[in-house]
Amino acid sequence: MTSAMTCPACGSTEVSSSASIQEIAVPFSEPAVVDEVVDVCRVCGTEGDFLDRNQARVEVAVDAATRESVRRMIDGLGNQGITMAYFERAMRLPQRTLARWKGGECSSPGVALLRLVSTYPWLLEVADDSFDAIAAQQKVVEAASRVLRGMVRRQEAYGPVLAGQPVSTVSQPSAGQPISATFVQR
Amino acid sequence: MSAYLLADFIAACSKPGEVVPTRGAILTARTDFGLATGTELLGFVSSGGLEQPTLISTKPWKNNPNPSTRIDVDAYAFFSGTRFGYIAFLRQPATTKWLVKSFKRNTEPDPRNLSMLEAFRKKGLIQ
Repeated sequence: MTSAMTCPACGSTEVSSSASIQEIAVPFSEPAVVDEVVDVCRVCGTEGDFLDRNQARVEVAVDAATRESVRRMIDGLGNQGITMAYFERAMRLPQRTLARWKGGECSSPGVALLRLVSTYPWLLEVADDSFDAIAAQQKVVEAASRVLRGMVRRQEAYGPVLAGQPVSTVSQPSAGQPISATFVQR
Repeated sequence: MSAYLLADFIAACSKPGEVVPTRGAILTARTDFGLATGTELLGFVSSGGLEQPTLISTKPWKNNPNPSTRIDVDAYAFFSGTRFGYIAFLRQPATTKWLVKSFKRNTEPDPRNLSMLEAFRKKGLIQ
């Protein structure tokens, strides 16, 4: 298809258009799929969306994927035993906020907060402690300890996982005990 | 020396229709910086997103179909938080529009790490 549009790079009107299916990554969701217009200048080779027709298409697709991600994140937190009422109380949000978010009324800051809490659920415990600095540090250390224990368990089950370095000796931590690991040095 | 004033380009990014990102720039803006659309890319630039911009080069536009009119491409390195980026743009006098040729993660070594790399080299830990 050829139209009378002008190439912004060289000013030529020798522009053809085609369509291209693109996937846009959206955290905690399937990618947004967009049918985009691609304009190509046959004189200078510049490719783009010379009439800005893709903006609305991308927004619609990303918004839909983001709404789906909100539902998934709230369900995922629920599966971990984190109720919407607890989330709202810890974060001092109005009651029923998460229900409204799940129903599609989630703002960008709300999405950002859900992504943070879905990635680091212990942030709710920090919030529940009124963001006390010492308590927050303790939660960070506890979370890091859980991650390290998981890495050690995977190491024992599947082999070296820590930055490609073999672990020579690992003592399996018991509950409440710190882990210890000695790494082979080159 | 740059062909354009960076401030002029940044100011143009806030004016609808004055700056057009190429398809390649938009695709790498998505994958490398999470900016989904051309509007998001231009909004990022116009709102001060290019931190510590440093001119890398000014070169003639190699796809210029009219060599009698010289059109240069300015390329800058920049940071966005911890991310190291690269942007290249030109202005076409015939259309008076700016074109973002490239907007992507910078593959050159991050200069913030150079002192660390040099220390590793001196110790023989890397070549």
